[in-house]
Amino acid sequence: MFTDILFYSVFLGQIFLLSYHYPKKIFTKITYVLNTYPASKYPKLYRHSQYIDPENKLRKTARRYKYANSAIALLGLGILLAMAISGYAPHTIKENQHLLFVVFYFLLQSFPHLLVEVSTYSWYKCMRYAAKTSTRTADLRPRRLFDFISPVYVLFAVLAYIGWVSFYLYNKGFSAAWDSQTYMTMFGMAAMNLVFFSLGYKSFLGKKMDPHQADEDQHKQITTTIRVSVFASILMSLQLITFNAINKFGWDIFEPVAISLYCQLIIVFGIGEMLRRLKIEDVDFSVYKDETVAPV
Amino acid sequence: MRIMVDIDDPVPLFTQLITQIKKAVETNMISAGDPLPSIRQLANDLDVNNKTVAKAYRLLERDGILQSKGYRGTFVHPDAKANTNTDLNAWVLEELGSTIDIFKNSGATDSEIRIAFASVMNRQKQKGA
Repeated sequence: MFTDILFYSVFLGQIFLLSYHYPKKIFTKITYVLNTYPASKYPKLYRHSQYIDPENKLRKTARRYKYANSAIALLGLGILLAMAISGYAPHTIKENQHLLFVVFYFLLQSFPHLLVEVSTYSWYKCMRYAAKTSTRTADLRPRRLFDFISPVYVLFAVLAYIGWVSFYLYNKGFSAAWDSQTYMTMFGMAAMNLVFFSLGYKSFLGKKMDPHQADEDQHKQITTTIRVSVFASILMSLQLITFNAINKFGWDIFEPVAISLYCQLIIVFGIGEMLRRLKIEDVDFSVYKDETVAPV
Repeated sequence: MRIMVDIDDPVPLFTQLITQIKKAVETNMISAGDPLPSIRQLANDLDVNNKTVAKAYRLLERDGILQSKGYRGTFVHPDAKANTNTDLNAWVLEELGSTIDIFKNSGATDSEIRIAFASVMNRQKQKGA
C-alpha cells in the first residue's frame, strides 16, 4: 500500500513539475520579454532572416508550447485517474508495467522542452546570420573552467563516475565482468559523459550563441551551461548506482519511483537551474536596441 | 580589456590583432605576466580562423611581446612594454632599403638585385631545410 501511495505521489509530482510548474515559468518568461521588449524598441532581438513577423511567430510558438504542456498534463492526470479508478496497485504488478508509463510519459513531457531548445538554437543561428557586421570584439582575459564552477562539483562528478564503475564491476564480479554487456554499458556511460563535456566545452570556448549578448550575461550563461552539464553527469552516475543497488537488493518495486524521481531531478537541475540563474530581470536588453535609430 | 577587429578593413586581421595587443601593453591595459586567452577562445570570440590568431601570437612572441608557456598558456612577456617600441617589420624595411641603395649606387640593375635577392632567399631556405 505504501509503495502504491508513493508511486502515485511521485508520478503526480512528475506531472506537476514537468508539465505545469516549469512550463508556466518559461511561458511567463517569454511573455514578459515580448511585452517588455517589443520589436519596435528592441529590433535586434527579433531581427530574423526567416520570418516576416518574428515577434508574432514567437507569440504563436509560446502559445503552442503552453497548450502542448497543458494537454500532456491532462493526459498524465487522466492516466493517474484511470489507474486509481481501475484499482491499479503497482505493488501487485510483477512486470513493472508502470515503469513504462513513467518512462514514456517523461519522454512525452520532454518533447515540448526539446522543441523549445531546438527553436532557440535555430533562433540564435538566424540572429547571428542577420547580425553580420564587419567589426568584432573580444575580451583579452582568458576564460578558465574554475571561474565558472567550483572544483568541488567537478571532483564530485569524477568521483561519482568512478563510484559507479566500481559498484557496477563489483556487482558483476570483477573477474568475470568483461562481457559484451559490460563493454556496451561502459561505452554508453562514457559517451554520455562526453556529450556533457562537449556541451560545457562548446559553451566555454565555442562561438557566442547570441551575437549581441552582453559580457556579463554571457558569463552567466556559460556558468549555467557548465553547471548543468556537471550536475547531469553526477545525476547520471548516481542514478545508475541507485538502479544497480535496486537490482542487487531486489527492490524492484521502487524502480518506477526511482525513475520518476530521477526524471524530476534532471529537470530541477537542468531547466530549474537555468531559470534560477538566468533571471530575465537581470538580463541586459539594451544590447538589442537599434543604435542607428535616433531616439524620438 | 576588449579588442576589436574589422574584417572589411584592408589591413590583414593578424596585423590588426598585433596592433591592438601592442596598444593594450603600451597603455597598461595588460601588463607583464598577465595571461592571454587561448588561440581557440580568441578566434571563436572574434569569429575568425584559429590560424589568424595563431599567426598574430607567433609574431608577437617573436617580437618579445608575448611568451608561450606550453600547456599553461600564453602570457605577456616581462619586457613586453620595452619591446613594443621595436618594430621588426619597419627595421627590416629600413635595413633592406639602405642595402638596396648601396647596390644601386654600385651600378647593379633592379633585375640583378631581384634575382640576387631571390637566389639568397632560396639558398637560406635550402640551408634551413
